[in-house]
Amino acid sequence: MPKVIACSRRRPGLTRADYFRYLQFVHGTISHKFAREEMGWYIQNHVVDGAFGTTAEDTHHQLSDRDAAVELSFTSFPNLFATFEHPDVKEWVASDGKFFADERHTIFMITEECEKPVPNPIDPFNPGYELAPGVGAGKVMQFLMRADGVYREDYYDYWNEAHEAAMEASPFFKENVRRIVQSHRLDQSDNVKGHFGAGEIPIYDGVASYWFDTSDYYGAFRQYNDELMKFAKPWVDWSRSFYLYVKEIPIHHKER
Amino acid sequence: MPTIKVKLDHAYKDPTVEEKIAVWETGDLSDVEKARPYAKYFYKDLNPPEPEVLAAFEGQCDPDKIIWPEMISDLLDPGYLDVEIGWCIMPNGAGFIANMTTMPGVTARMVEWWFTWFTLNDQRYKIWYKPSHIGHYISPERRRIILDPKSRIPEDTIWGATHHAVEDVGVGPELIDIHFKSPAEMGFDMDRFHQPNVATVIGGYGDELVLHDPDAPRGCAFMVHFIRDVEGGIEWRTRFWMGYRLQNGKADCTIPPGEAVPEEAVKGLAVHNAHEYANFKVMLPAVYAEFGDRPIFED
Repeated sequence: MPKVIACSRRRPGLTRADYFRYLQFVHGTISHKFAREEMGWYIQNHVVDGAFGTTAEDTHHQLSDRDAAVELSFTSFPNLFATFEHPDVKEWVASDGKFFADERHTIFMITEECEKPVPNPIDPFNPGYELAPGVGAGKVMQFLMRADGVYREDYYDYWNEAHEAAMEASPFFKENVRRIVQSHRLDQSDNVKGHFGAGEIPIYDGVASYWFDTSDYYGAFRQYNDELMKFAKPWVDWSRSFYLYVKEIPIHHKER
Repeated sequence: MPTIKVKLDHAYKDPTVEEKIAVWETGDLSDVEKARPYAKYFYKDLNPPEPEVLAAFEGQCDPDKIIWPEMISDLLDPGYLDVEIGWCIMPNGAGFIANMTTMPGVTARMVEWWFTWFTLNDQRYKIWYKPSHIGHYISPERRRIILDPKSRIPEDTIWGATHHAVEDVGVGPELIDIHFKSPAEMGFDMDRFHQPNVATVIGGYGDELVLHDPDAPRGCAFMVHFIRDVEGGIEWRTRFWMGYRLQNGKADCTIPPGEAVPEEAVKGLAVHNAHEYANFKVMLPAVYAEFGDRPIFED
């Protein structure tokens, strides 16, 4: 199932509060009103905090300001295109982006999800949790830029190896992560980036999402990330990668 | 020669795509390539396709008689399907191609060996069909797997591999990333995937990048080369569904509603397929006879 990810920052003149209010209550309402039958689910991820690059750099190598990452899931490519090409979506939804986002710098991609197994999708503390495995109120989204000279297929293979090694080396993360989804960028991304007004944007071949019970467990992600960065083979340009602590805001969820 | 007007992936170096095209444009091999033991195959006359195949590609076949990607297991049926040679635009805008070539003296083992061996440099790709095959890349990890004597052909060397081909299939030079899949991932009924229904399958899907046109949409195609044994050789049955990609073992059409793959692109690929496999069937037995009995090597 193709999934769109668009990661933006607020447009000039808006505070973060202005941006979040508009994104959720204005744009979210418009999007829900004009949601197509073909759409699966639409989630906004509002950024609480984030880190860009690493402490090894003394200045940023990239735009180091992101305020939200939205995700839109579809059951098929025809449904994806039918949504973005619909006149109502073009007129009301796509055209609304300029009122809240710095569109030219929106990172945009169509992806394919790859779910990774976790040992504890449910917190064993309370039986009620068994109703909802693989969920969590604390979410981290990590944008990983492929290192220069590395082939994309090798990047995905190295990512798997690095992930496995990091999992084993970070027990607090391993025990408390409830769900992990890798999103792999597809070449078809280039065909619809105009919907989001994206210009020349950096390419991120992979985005990882991690869910924890609460935001108290962001430190677990830090433990894991430290280990991820130790992987011996060069696969990620860490100076141009970043992660975001986010709050999920469901806008439209036909499938969920 | 149209110049490259798109931004290329940073992985393609040593040589660059431009350098590969420059050598190809000379119509000859480079000095390094001339010194290799298989250089002579580049200078052989091409074996042309049968005239009736090219005649069948002049116009479109009946879209009602083709198989769709979800019907891929129909290839496992004995006998032949309604359309074995032809092309058309499908009702959903995708492009369909079918071709069949009988290859005396060729075995499935040779085919699997070839799709492992040729990937290691541009020249091996060019001796296959020099008018269109410009160059080829594989990643360092893929090269390591291919050169590992413990790697199994095709399970390790072809299934899961990505080939980066620089070629002109009728619309100008393109960079095509071909993601090879196992038969199960292509959607075949594995209960029927055995002799005599099938000898081997080479397939997957490709993502294309047109090098001279930055406005050209990123296309893709689901490709299957279905090989079965016949008396004295093999039967090579190709199917393309242009506009489709494979996702989690299922084919998904990426053509927006109301749009279609251009007819000239579908016909161009069909004609290219006819030419390249017409030459392939005489080139492969000769190359295999000379290099097939030794470990896979690079030079």
